[in-house]
Amino acid sequence: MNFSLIEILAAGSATLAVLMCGITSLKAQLQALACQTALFAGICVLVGIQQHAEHFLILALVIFLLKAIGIPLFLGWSSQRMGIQRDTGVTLNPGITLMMGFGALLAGYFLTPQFAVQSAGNPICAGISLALLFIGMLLMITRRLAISQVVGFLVMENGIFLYGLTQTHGMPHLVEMAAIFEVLIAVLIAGLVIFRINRSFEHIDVSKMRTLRH
Amino acid sequence: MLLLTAAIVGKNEIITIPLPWFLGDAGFSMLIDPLSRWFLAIIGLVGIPVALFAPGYLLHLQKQVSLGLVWAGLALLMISMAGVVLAANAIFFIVAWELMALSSFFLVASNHEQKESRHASFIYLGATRIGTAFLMGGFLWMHYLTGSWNFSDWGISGFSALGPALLIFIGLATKAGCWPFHLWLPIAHPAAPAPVSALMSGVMIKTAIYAMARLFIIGPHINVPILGKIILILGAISAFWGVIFALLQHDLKRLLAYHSVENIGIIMMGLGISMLGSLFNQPLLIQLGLAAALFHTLNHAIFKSLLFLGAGAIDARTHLRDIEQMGGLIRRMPWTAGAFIVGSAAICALPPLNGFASEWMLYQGFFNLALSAPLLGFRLGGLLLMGILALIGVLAIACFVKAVSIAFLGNPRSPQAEHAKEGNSGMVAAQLFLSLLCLGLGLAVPLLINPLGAITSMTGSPSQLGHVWSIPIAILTLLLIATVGALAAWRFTLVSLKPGRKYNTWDCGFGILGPRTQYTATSFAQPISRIFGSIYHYAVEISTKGRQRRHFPEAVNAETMYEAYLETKLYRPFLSAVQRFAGTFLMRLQAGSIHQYLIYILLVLGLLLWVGVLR
Amino acid sequence: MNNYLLLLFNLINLIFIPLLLMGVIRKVKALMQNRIGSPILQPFYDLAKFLRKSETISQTASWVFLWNPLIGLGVAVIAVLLVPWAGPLLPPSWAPATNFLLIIYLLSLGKFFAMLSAMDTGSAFGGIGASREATISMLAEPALIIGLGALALGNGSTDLLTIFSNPSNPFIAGLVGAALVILALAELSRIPVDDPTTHLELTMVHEAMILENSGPNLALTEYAVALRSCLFFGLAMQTLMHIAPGFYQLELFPRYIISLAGLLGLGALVAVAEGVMVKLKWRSVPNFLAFGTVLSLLAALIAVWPK
Repeated sequence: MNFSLIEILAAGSATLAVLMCGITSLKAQLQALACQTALFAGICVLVGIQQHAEHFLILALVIFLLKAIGIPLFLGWSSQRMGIQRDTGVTLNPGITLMMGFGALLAGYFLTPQFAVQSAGNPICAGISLALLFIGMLLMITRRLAISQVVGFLVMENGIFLYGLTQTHGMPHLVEMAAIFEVLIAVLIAGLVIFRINRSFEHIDVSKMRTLRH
Repeated sequence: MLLLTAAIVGKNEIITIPLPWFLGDAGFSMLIDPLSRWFLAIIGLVGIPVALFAPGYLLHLQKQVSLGLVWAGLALLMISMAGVVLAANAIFFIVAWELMALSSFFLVASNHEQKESRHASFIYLGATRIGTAFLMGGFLWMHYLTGSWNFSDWGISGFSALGPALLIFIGLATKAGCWPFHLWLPIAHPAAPAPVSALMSGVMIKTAIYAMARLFIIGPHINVPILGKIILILGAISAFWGVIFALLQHDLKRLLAYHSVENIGIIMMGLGISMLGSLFNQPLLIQLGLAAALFHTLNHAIFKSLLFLGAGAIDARTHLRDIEQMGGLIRRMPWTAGAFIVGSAAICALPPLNGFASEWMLYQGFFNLALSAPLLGFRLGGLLLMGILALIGVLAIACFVKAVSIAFLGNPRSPQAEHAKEGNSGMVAAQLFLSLLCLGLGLAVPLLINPLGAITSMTGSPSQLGHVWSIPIAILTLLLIATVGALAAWRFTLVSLKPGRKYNTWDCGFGILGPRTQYTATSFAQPISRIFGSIYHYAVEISTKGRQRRHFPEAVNAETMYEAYLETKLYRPFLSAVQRFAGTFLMRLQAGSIHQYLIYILLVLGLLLWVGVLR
Repeated sequence: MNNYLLLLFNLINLIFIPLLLMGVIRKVKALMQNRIGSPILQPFYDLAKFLRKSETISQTASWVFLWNPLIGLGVAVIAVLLVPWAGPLLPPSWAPATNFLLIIYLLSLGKFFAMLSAMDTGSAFGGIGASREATISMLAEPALIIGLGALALGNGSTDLLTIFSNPSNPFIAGLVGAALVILALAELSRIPVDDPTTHLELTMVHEAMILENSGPNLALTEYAVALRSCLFFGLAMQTLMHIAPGFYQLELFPRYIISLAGLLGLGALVAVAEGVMVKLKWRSVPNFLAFGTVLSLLAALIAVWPK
């Protein structure tokens, strides 16, 4: 079993994503997200070394600072201000969600042949990015608190980015930077809006927000 | 006599005995080969204790049951089962199969004064009819494809074989009690008298397994790749389904019947692995799966009959089948309790008994699948199946700890349990015989490798089973007994120096606890039932009555409910639709008018003449 | 000759190390709670004290209750002898006896009788303990077998001695080791699955089952618990140490010393965790054990990967 270092790191981030499905403590989730994104930054560095392009190293730095450190800190700060520590309101039992996360990993494996781009190498990463996509969606569906859903969105975004990074020969530098900043702004806005929702409704439990039209 | 001769195994040859009787196209020919001998041994081994047990048991049913009918039925059942495993062609097979079904129907209905028995026998008859219909359809199709009724000519493979294979499989699965055709089993088996349940659950459903092995795996067989996967998956589902429903039961016999469903599932998993082995062309896998399945068949026959006989002994002495009314029977029926504990340990696959040996072989089969299958999906499946088997094993342990502890241990929960007495010598002897067999078979596995090897070598390659069983179980058992013995000697001498005292169970100072404060079976199963609650809609409703409900309730009512979705959402609507159809539409065809019937006869005659003339 | 020496060494091991492990765990936990705590050898003194006392046996109890500690201890002794928890201390010809399926089912035999004896006294404590023990086992055992199976796939054999004498994939070893730590906490009834120090029925599972035991019976039961702790933690530690590529090649004695140090270290870590965490709500226990299952499943996925 000869895996390149990129594939090992990608597998590590997929493992973390699967484990995130079962974590209910918000702080732990943010820490897992931070680790996952840090691994992802590492992949970026490796791709940069492999393709001898410097902009990947800058990209890795940006990812690390903004997504691995900045966003979790911001979300952690806002959840602390809202007094939330634990997302106990999950619609599916965390144990079953873990199994479904593992199933998403399997689905990613079986769909790899359809999605892997042969010329770019790293075939496993295509499957892993699909798995991350599914797991992100799973997290968004099964969590009740809005902040956890933002975390799911970020995992999904990680997956898409991984696919773009490893299966193409590098997207244009500008597109990637733009994407990152877009995500940053989205999360900032989401955080602020959630804060306001909490102020108005005293909670951010999404399942109770179905009567908003009244 | 007949039962004992069925246990005698003949020479290790393939003997074809065409008797000078004819049924249509085919002779009454029989075939004795290693597979048949294995099943004959099972029939005989279970028949002996059943014969020992029955006289004592039937004494208590004397008034309701005609003894002649029961004994005749039992004899007929044994003969027909032997006929099934000896049949060499499809016609003889069906004749013996039908005879088996009829005799067991009469046995289930033997207690026909009770409404429950009648209802159960009716459902059993219906299920068996439908199963045989499928089976006959499959056999007819096979005859059409191969032109012969002999099993040895039925070696076909490919797409055309899929249809008959599926029909035959559904017929056999109905008889075996495989999910989703298992619904009749928990209804029919408890309604029969205990020795009959033992025979039915221990041996009769195994004849379907014999047919599956004969038709799909051994020698010239129907080779359809997808059937292996179907059998494996259905087997896994049956095993799981059987055991989680068994946890909910508190009727001892129904609980045991659900465990039969579970074990048939395990056996079918072994058969499925074997068929996957032939798909991947791995002879070791074929042989391991088959050997594990057949070994488990033998073991299950032994310990399931042991358990049913134990339940029967309790029923005979206390007229109780509900474990929530029993308790403390270990002091009053010590031999039955001891045998039942041995049987429970065997069914939970605890070393060094026989259940462990066959489940270990099945584990090795799964491991081999994980090692050698060409596709990742199947390899992962092999490991996952090991996990599923472990899950089933622990659920079985939970279920039997519940059954044994509520029924035998603790304090009696009803006057009948309090005044129970040990069964008579025949009943005890039968159970002891089976317990010793459990232990013996577990320790003597190397001796069984040869007969199993003879069977598996019929799948095309010489037996590779010699290297499989590697655990020195006999030495380890001796070591265990020696250790426990040494500790026991030490402890008992220690205790005799400082004699202890007997006192009440710890009651937190509330005073002497009665039998009602003990744990109940429902409470024991509650945590697990809640975890699997979504599968069968498990719910607990508690209502309190009284003026001051919160502080001084007068009556508290707790009700647990579950629902078998398969039964209520699939079978019942289907059956009621059939009934409606039969009631309204078909009624019109049977108006009772003689003229109408004469017209029917005329029409059919005309049709036959026309068809004859055309030929 | 060498084989007999090894056997003697094993026997000495299993007399001293398990209770030492329990002592270390208790001492570290006391230190975490800012107490001096009992001396490290306290479990030995406790056992001696129990053996000197006389027994009180419930009137409802039967032979199941009397024989359970003996069977449990016998099973634990044999399991600890067979499992290479401190390196392969058995001659290679014994490998088939160390089959992990045999070991796990042997331990299940002990558990079966433990649950029966808990129900034997007719007390509701025993009932709730046995019922919860059954549930925890149900959640833990599949993960255990899948994890050990994943380890075994790399070596093509289900014998533990062979597994631990050969190299393993570091990722599989890491994942299975982590899973084994979680499952050990479940099987040994430690925090966060069950609290081994309280005696309230809502917070005890294992203690509820052994509530009625006293005197020599209690001594035997406690010793069996110590042996099983040694087994599970030792197994977890061995698996984790197999992450290091050269570990399986070490000579017998250095490997034993390192394993022992690792075992006591793991015990200390568990005690630290016990000081920091609390017992989980009963309804959250399945979610915690699901982590163990998923780690095993991930290891299984890596193990079946095409070469």
